[in-house]
Amino acid sequence: MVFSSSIFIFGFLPVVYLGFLISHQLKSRSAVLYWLIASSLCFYGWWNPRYLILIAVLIGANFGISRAIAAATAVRRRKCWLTLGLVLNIGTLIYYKYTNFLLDNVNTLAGTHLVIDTIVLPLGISFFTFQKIALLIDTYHGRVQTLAFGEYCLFVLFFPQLIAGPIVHHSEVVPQFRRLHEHRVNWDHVVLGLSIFFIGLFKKVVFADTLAAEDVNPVFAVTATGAVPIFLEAWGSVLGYTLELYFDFSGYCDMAIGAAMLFGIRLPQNFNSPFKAASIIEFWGRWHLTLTRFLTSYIYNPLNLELTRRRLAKGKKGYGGKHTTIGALITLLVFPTMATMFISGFWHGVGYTFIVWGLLHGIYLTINHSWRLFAHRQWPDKQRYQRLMWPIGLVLTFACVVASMAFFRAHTISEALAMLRVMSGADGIQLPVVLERIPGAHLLSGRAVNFLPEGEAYGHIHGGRPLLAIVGLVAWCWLLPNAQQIFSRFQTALGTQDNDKAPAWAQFSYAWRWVTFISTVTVMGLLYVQTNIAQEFLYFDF
Amino acid sequence: MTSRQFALLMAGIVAVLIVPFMAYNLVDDDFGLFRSNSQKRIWIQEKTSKYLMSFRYIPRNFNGILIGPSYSDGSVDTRRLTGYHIYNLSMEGGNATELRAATVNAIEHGRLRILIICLGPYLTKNSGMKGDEISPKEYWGSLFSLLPLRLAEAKFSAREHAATDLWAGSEWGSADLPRKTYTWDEFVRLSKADPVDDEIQIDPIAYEHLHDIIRTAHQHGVKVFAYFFPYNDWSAETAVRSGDWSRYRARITKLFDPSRDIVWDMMEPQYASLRHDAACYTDDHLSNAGISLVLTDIQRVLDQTLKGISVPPVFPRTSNLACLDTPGAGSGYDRNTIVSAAATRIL
Repeated sequence: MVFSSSIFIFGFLPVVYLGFLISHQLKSRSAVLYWLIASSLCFYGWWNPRYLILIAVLIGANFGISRAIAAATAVRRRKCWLTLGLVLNIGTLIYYKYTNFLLDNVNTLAGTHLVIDTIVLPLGISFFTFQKIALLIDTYHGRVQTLAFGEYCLFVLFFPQLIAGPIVHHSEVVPQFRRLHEHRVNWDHVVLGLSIFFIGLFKKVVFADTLAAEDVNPVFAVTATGAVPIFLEAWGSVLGYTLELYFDFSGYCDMAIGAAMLFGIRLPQNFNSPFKAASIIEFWGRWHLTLTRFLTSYIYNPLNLELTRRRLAKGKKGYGGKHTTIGALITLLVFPTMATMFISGFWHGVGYTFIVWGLLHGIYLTINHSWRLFAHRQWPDKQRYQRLMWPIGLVLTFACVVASMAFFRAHTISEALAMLRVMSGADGIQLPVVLERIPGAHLLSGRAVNFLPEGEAYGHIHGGRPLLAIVGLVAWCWLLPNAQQIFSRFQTALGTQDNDKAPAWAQFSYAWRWVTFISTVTVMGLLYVQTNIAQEFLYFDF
Repeated sequence: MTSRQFALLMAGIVAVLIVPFMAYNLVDDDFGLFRSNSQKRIWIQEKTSKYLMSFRYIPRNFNGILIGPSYSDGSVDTRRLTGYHIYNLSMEGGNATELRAATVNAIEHGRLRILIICLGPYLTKNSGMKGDEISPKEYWGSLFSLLPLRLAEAKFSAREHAATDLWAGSEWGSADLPRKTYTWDEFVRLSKADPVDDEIQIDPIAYEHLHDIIRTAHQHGVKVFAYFFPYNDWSAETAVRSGDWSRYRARITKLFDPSRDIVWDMMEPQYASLRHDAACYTDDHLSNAGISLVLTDIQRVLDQTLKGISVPPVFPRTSNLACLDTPGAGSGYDRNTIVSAAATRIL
């Protein structure tokens, strides 16, 4: 069941909320807890009931292992249990997600013809696996109080975040689950929850799905056959995909946050206007925040810490400050960054294109970190530097992200490279003839640039449709506040910062203009929900 | 304003915007889904419209359907099949999966008596829904989605540009879809450049979906007629000579029940004059002249088979039936030969 389906909006959500109200009246924490667990199982099983067994087994095993870790006093025994837990979770993830890929590679390298049946990827396995791993590690480090079974189940299963995140940390939600029965069901939760939900729905069905259907999928379907698009066509599809992915996933996260809010649960913020980032480091601090947090806390930091310890033990210098050596840079920055982003890429999807995407971001991050070391020395006046570099950084970061998205979307690396070559203008730049009127434009004509009639300049797939919608959406991302900024006064998500607010005119309040706005957004969203446009969430595949 | 008032106001505004819209579409009922019994024409999205009409409009108002890809779509006006009320449920670019959705619907929702299938490699060349025009979602979407808005826009533009309204008179499923006409040389060159043998590969899922259509018809006592489309000699030349056509035909024919279904092949020699006449074709589709001949042949087979079986009329006969086209000059065939030729029944 997806959030943007009629069955969820008109059936599942109202029924679960009604049941929540009824169980709430019983004043029993267990009643509320188990109602939400049962609802979440129903939500998950709707897709494929067979996988309920898998998720139940994984929950049972992980709960048992976390208990065993907590109960064990000897470090060795705790380590054994942790290893078992990690093997179980990572092994399951590898089996379901990577077996076919690994087998293909073995067949290619060894010339074998090993074949197994196609393994269907259980929905959300990448997300809930990370949550369970985080809990096991934190239990090992003694950072978790013992959870009751019901709490643990709801921590993994809570339907708003079950299948595509945000990747919640137990410390964020379990305390809220413990207070579930104390909440007075109030209209604030209803209004805020539904408002955020429908804003997310709007972003998903109106923007993301339309971009996919009209600008992205038709072009990539053709390039997958080896055909080469023309300049604006390539830009339209890759830029369109960048926006599609953002609106798809951030829309989904808004819906998740809104749906959880209905029950008085605050989920962590997952997007914070990533395209407003003026550096790639800042971008990863705004894009898929909960994944960045997981990767940083459970992969990058432990790796970095271990490497730093080893270097310091050998009497070598660490990383940072004016005296960073090349050795420290490579060992303590490049290696852990590339390793983490490699995992990030491989986690996002099965295929070399995703690995290249991850490594490309690893390179971006390394360059960005190195630049910072250099820039601090060259420009001591920080404010002046910021003023000068912000617009350059904004455009450069966006361009880097867009370029990486060619790999994220393309079926093969060569397809992505062909797309980037066309985008770079190496195959010539075809522009609509209307642009020839711009003073000086005629000087370019006939060299690298060809001015063509509208229908031809935008390629066959866009059918002569100008890419104004895409330009408009880029402007939307750059200029308008995001949902969490709009609702910042009400702290609808965890991790939002007090100083990160929308301007006064864009701050939500219980006023007529907001009723009108939210109602319009709701009607528009519902109009598209019932329209037959493919509505698969991109992050379901990850 | 309190949060409670906000919530109630929001619900009120949403209801005010949605309910009248839905009510209007319910009353208008452009696809005959809910209440209307009047004749329904197609305005937009042929596949969506025909799929939605297959829920109620077609099973209620017709006693037979003709299905197939573009070869039996367009100007193939089933009103010319006198004595029967056959809706042309063929779809431009339709494959067996898409046709199955509408056909099974139409058969299961009413009391259809006749199913005519236009067979050709295109039908089973690929499977799955092509694009997003056919979905059960559109059933309720006809009341509230972008579909009614697009429909309203189409109605408006049809009024504005009545002369170019291709779907005017599409109450029986046919339309005046534009087909290019070519000179003889062009026609021969294009036909050879786009041979049928390029399409003779049977997708196993599409094959199964075609089987589903036939099986459903059998289960509901629907009489099945199927003809292999007469591809012009130039485009079919290689396929026939190589034996691909015979193999294709044999495989498809296996889907039918010899004891109850009528299957005939317009690639047989007695249809040679049709297949060798450029005037009977536009591109690789039939021209009006070709359509007339094929419809006459279908009429003959229906009459022969259903003699004595009463097929009650539903709609009053419309008066705007186009006269049968006369064949183009220099076509060089004798229409009577075709009409009177006893089609070789394969089954």
